[in-house]
Amino acid sequence: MIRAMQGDKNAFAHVVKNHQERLYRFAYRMVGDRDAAGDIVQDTLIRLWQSRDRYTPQGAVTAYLLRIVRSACIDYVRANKNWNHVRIDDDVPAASTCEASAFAGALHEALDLALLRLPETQRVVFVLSEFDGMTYQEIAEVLGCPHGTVASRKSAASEALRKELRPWLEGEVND
Amino acid sequence: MIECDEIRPLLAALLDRELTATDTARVEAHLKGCEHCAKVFDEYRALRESAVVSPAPVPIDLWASIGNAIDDTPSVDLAAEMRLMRQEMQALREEVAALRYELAKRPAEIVRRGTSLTLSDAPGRYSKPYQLV
Repeated sequence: MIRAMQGDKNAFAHVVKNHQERLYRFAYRMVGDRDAAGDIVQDTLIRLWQSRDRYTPQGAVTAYLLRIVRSACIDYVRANKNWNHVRIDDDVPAASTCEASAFAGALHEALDLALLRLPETQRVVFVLSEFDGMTYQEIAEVLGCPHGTVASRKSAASEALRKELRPWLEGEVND
Repeated sequence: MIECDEIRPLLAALLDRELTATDTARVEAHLKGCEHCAKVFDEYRALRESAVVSPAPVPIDLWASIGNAIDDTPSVDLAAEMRLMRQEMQALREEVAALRYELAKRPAEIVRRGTSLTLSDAPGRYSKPYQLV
């Protein structure tokens, strides 16, 4: 990363290729729109390259990249007033011939939509914990907040999602 | 019920294995005796399972577009360097113009100073400077 920020384009290509998938999936979960997620990550990385003379090494590279992509996601949501009406466009087929698959598709869609209704501070913790598998300490580093704050936000997010998705989750539990 | 209120905020952390050994033992002991909290915990687990298998879109190769974009756009430090060079060039131009002005104003004096040689130790008739041009 340091070499990349000193102007080594090959090193920057390495950083981008190593992180693009994770950053893209993270942005997608944060804004619920595939095209917007691609644009957000792309613009963020281009800006990072353009302002590389201002870069100061601080902690893990992944945490730093997630932090700046998160900021860009917040900006995107602020700039798009109708953002919460955006529908998650997932890869799950809308109509499935298999009942179990249709149920799973509906559950995933409901989860994605419920996720977008969470406050951003809870959503980011839930996404990094559940979809990225990060520990509370790693999340605390990304967000720059105490470990206890991550724990309480994760608890609040889980509880809100559990309540919203109870009809689906009860089915899962009973199975 | 008071204990349930204390335990419930810890259930997500239990699932994430983020509790201390003491808290883990306390919460697990409570779950064995409390059907309601055990059900909530099962629902948290089901939520996790659905999140784990939830599909995400296949990402596009962002490097192709990023690589092209950064080729076309000068970096901030390069732009700053170019600005600095332009300022230096302007300062040099002004300096050259000032020197030309001085040269035009006092040509004879400069020619004399630049082309004469004084032989101070030469005796008699050689005490005046030799004009070389």
